[in-house]
Amino acid sequence: MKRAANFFDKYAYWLFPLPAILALLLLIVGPVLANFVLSTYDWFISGRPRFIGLENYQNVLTDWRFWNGIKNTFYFTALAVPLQLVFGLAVAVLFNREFPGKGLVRTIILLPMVATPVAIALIWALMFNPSLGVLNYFLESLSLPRSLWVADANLVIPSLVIVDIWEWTPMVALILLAALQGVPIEYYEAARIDGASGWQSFWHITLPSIRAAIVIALILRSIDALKTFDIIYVITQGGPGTASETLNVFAFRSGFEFFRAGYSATLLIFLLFVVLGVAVLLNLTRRST
Amino acid sequence: MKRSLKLALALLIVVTFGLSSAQQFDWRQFEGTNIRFLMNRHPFTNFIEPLIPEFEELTGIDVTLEIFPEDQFRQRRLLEVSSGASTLDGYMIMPGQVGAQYLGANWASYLDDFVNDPSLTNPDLDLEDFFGGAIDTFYNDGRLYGLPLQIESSLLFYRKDLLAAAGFDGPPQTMEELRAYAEKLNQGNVAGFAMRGKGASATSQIVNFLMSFGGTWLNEDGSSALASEASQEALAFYADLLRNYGPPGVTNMSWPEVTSLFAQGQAAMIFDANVFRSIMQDPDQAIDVVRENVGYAPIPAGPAGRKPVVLVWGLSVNHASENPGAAWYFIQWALSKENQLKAALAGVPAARQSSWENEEFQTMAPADWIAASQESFAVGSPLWNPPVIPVPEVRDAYGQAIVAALQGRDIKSALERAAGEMDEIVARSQQ
Repeated sequence: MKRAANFFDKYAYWLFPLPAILALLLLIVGPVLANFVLSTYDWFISGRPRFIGLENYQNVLTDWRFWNGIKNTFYFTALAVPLQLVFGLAVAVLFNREFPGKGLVRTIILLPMVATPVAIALIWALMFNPSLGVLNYFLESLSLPRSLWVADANLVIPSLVIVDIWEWTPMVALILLAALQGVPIEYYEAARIDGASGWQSFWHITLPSIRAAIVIALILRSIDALKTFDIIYVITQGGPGTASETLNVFAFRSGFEFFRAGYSATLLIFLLFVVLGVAVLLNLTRRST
Repeated sequence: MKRSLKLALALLIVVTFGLSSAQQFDWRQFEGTNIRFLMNRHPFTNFIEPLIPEFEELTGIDVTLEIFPEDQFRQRRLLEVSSGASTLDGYMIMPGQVGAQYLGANWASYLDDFVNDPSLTNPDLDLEDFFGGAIDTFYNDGRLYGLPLQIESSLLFYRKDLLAAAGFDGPPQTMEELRAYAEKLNQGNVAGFAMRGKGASATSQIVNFLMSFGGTWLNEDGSSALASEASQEALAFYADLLRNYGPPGVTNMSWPEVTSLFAQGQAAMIFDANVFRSIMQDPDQAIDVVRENVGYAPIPAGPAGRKPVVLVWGLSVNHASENPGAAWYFIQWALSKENQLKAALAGVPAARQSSWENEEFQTMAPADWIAASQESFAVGSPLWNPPVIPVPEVRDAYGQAIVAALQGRDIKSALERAAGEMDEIVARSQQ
């Protein structure tokens, strides 16, 4: 009896998280390892897998489409995430005040985040249509020139970024709003007594107080943005040509359209390291604060 | 007298016996078996599914149709066929899409032994009745591995009112006329001509131009023919047409964009699959002036003549099936003259000539659409895709060249690059 209690005391530390660890091993570590094994094979799906060691890795590094994917992945992320942070912060600051109808507006502004991404993407694809879409109709009614939107190789990523901003700004706003509500109101009262302007209290009180939350939002959004798949695949499938083909989209097409299972697995290993690398780097900035 | 009576009697017996054996093909020899077919969620499937009880009553064979949307259907079929699952007896197949892959992996189940055995094949089957373009896709070295259930081809859709207003008294007959028409019809918000330009999805349409300009997919030695002079001319003609007289944003257009452009009155002519006639006649999708004025014509003749391609769906028996005879019975029944006619009347573009010649069917569709379709089916080439195993990746490589051409880049180097990639892709798949 006593022994059992001792055992329990000693290992409870391990026992409670055990189910979670098992689930993690089964659902994440296992597939990642399997993916790594797959990446050492040349396997055209209707043929036989053939072990080729690290040849896929070599081929990936000399494939222009891989580098094109890396470029598009970073371009998309670097454009989308900072804008989401700025807009998200603005929305959060707005909702930190009282105004009539706040509850209703807050619900409406959260809608993009809870809607099904594929449905969102289909609607945006319609709106982007250069001949029949509503966006060009608006441009024309403002006497502005029509745009090709996602049909223009130079505009396709900025256009997709608009969708991503529209969809994910609410999440950033939600994280920052939670942090804002934790900032003691006394700070602002003291600042006001000292004669600080609204801008000064934002810059010297608000921002430093929620810096940790900003970094968290930055990390979460960066990881998501690097992996973005649904809106890009539904709206452009990586086109025109390969102008919006991110690493994730290229990996999907390699595996499920071109049936190159091993090559696709290799691309995903690279994507894993890209995402991990960025997450670790951003996390370092959090530690240093 | 006695003798001649005997003879007459014998003759009578032979004749009646012979006749009855021909008329009463034994549908019940596989009574009690179960068969399973994998089907694409397709108008044909929607048509045949409610009729299955008729087949079950006729033959005593129990049929299960497993139906999936196209992408899942293709993944599921690949999985089951490649694993050699013996519980799968047959499936829908598009030979122009996966034929080379299935034949290369020895997954085809040849039907000649059935077809040549009168006790296993209904004498009314009549293989000659299928359109040449449809049944030819199911022959590999003279051996049959399936039967077609529907056939499609691409047509030129044009607006009779706009053509008349521009002084043209009929659709363009040659590629040069097509260009002249497009130039004159391209006015304001109405594009003269529109067609798919979205990478891989455009290849199934542009291949009609490729062939009509005298090009094809492969050289005789099996290497890519995409960089040939004919191929360059075809792509240059196509890109020139769309860049000058096409709508904005062609590089993002697949069939939904092209057809809705025409249906909304924003294109005077388009080139796409004939089945999209249904969109042009649907009051919910097409504006009145389009519904009242749409006309159809076969592809204009290029330097090599009119060379359309045809898309064919059909049914095959699974190579690992334990009940191939029962599966063959189902295919014969599902694609009989009677059922193909019913399918045609239900809106499925049937693969039998007799269905298209039926009077009731002819009242259902515009005469010019029927005539243009039949003309294309009779001569259509089954090579709407390259006859290689990695079809999607080769289509993608060609699609990159198409996008480059539409963006105004050098056509020769884009096609040389595509041809090089195609050779590499094919070589890799053969390792």
